[in-house]
Amino acid sequence: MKTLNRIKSKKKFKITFDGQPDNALSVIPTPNEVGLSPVNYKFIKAKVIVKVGDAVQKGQALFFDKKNPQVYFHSPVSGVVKDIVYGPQRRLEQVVISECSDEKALQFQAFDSSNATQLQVVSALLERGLFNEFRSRPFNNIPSPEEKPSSIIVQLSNPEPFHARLSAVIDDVEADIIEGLQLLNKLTEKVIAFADANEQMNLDAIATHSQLVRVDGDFSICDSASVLYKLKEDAAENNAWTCDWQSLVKIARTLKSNEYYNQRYIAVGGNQKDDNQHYQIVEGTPVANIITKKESSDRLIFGGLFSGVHTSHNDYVPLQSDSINIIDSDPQAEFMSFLQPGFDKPSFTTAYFSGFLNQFRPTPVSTSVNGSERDCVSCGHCEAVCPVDTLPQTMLRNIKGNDVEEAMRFGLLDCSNCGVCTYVCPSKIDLSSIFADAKAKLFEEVNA
Amino acid sequence: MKWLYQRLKSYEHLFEKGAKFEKLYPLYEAVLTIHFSTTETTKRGAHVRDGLDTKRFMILVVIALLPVTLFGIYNAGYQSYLAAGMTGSIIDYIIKGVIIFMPILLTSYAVGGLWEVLFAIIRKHEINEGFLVSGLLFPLTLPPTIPLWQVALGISFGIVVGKEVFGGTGKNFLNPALTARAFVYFSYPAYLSGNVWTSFMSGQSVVSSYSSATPLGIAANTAQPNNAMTAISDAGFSLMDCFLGLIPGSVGETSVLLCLVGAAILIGTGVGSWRTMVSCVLGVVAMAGLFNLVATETTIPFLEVTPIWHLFIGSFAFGAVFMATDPVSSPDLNASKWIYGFLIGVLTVIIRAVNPAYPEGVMLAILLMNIFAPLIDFYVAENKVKKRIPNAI
Repeated sequence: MKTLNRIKSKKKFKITFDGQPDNALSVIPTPNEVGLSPVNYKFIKAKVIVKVGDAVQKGQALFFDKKNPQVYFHSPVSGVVKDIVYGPQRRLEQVVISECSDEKALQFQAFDSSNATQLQVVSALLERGLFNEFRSRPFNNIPSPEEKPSSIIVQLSNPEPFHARLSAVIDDVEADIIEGLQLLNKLTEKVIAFADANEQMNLDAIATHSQLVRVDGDFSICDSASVLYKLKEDAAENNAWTCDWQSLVKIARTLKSNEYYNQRYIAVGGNQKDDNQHYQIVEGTPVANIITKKESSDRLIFGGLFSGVHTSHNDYVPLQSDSINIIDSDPQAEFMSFLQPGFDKPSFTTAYFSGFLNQFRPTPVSTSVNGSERDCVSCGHCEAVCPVDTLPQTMLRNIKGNDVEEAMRFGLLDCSNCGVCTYVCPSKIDLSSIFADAKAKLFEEVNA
Repeated sequence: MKWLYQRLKSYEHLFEKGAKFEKLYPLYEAVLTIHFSTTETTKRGAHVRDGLDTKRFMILVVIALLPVTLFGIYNAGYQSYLAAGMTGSIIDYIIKGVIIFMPILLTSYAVGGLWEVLFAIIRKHEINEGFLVSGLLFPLTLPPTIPLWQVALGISFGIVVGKEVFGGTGKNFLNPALTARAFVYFSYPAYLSGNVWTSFMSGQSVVSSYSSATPLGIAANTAQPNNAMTAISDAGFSLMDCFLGLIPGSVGETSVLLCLVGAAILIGTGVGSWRTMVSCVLGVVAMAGLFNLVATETTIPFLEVTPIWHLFIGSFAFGAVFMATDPVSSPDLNASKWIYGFLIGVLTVIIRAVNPAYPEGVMLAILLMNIFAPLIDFYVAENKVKKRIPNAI
């Protein structure tokens, strides 16, 4: 790994979006009902070990990953299992727990990390249901507990519009993050923490426990995969683990209190400007408890505007989500819009006038595709914005031609699925989904 | 405009799957989306998308072509009056120009559009906006005297063989407009060389002082010991005339100035690659400079033509700005575009100077480099792969 402390990007994707959450923080009390959805864990095969009607304790295991049978997911509250919902192919969608309370928590054995070995730390994390906080490159799956990572990369800012920001709560959690980093140093030789250079916060204390990298560029560069790509010096470093600052807070607080720590910070961003702020919630809180206003034409997204998943008002905040975005989803048919100067058309190019205004004002967001799908015209916009310097057009052709080996040579596995190539494509080709599918297929083949 | 939208939408059920006119859906889609932007929302991938689509992309090329097109119409009329030894008002020139050029343009759009729609219906793909550009580019490369049946044949060949047999816009490896032009050029050479560059008025004799030869033709026909540039000047064409464009030639290609205006629009909107344009110019300057060095009194007079003359005569400017930058047929990668453009410039000068049979080298140079574009991309991409730290399983 290169020992850089600053990464500066030369890529051209400079565009800000309207609807940034502010730093205000409200605490949402423990809800009556929570739903635990593993939608953010793409590759797990969940096996539920409780039944409908069972009473569960806060911190008790609910389901585990059959592919990685040591990895359990624990209940954030005490209550009664109300429902277990399966989707197509018996994929676990959620475990719903009602009559929730914060009381009667399962007490874990006290753990002193100061002299613990790597194996002791791993088993302590497994026992407390914390190991699923880690992900492994390049597939973003939960790593195997037996594996020793070449490095762990901690994400301190996620500037993709719009995620919860550490700078909003840093005073409360800085000590926990440092404890978490100390623990990570027992798991690997190299702990790297990175933060957006534009996010105002003092990270001097954090820098003493990790290699702190400030990232100067758009959101796609400020991402674990991109940072790994920029720092790696050898193919052996490709399998780094990643986690974010909220995971460190959860790990540190659970280990300290010997009780499962069930709080999470989330940000609400997008159209409903008066609600755009930070919230502290219990994992799995219903969306309706957080967002009270409801408009049928809006789309709700868990996660960022580029990589988040589609959701509705009736859902529960999934595990490891740190934001809800609400954006307008009712595009109007405009007459001859391709002939207009386009002051309001969002664009990173200067094909519309708005492209000249990007640096002066945030772009309004909507879910409109803004055109119809066509064949690739080789405009080269995707290559110009890719944070990990892949050749998306070439990879697209490789994948269409069933030659994933060739796509890997051009950097398929370095791809972070930031979604910027999909955003910029004038032919409206969903490149990042095509790459994600190719990687998922590859993952299934490798782990068959 | 809401009534029109609702009217159009009310017909949609007729074209849906299983309905009566299911096969004509591409036609319906084209009519609807030309009038109104799509109301489709994102399903997967990024939830937000850029405002730029291929319609805007292609329309910007058409807008960039407007100055040369309007000037071409004016110039066609002007040359026609000049040949007859008459003078007229600007309006007269424009009317005459419209009468000369409009039938060519309409034939190109009508016949090209027909093929595009036919293939879209049979091959079940959308009607691509790319044809708006090809259908305009092709007539601009033709002399005003071209018979309309040749326009129809040419655009048919360009659209069908240059594009549709490979799967339509995006899958073609040759520039369709240039393919069309090359077809007409080689099939009917008499109509694209000699005294074809001015549409003479019927019933009027050509005044003796008027020569309808193009500067390029004059340079190619100069014999030793004459100097090619002196010959062009003697024929009454100054460097400034060639730059401004009030000279005989193909309809759209005479004015270097307005090609530069088009280039500014293409580069300003990010549609055309400035790398390709700049490297084309560099190629011409380098090769013409080299020829100037080796030129002696016994070599071909064309070798003495200086780079600046090469840039200003013929259709080099038009080709470099509008033809070479076609994103589909040029290489994908930015580094490749430098090589591609440079070689277009070099080949243009070689074909012009050394091969007296084809005084206009741009068309052949671009088509030849279209064929080599994937090869250039291959080596540039391999070079990029070498610099990557491997990440494979």
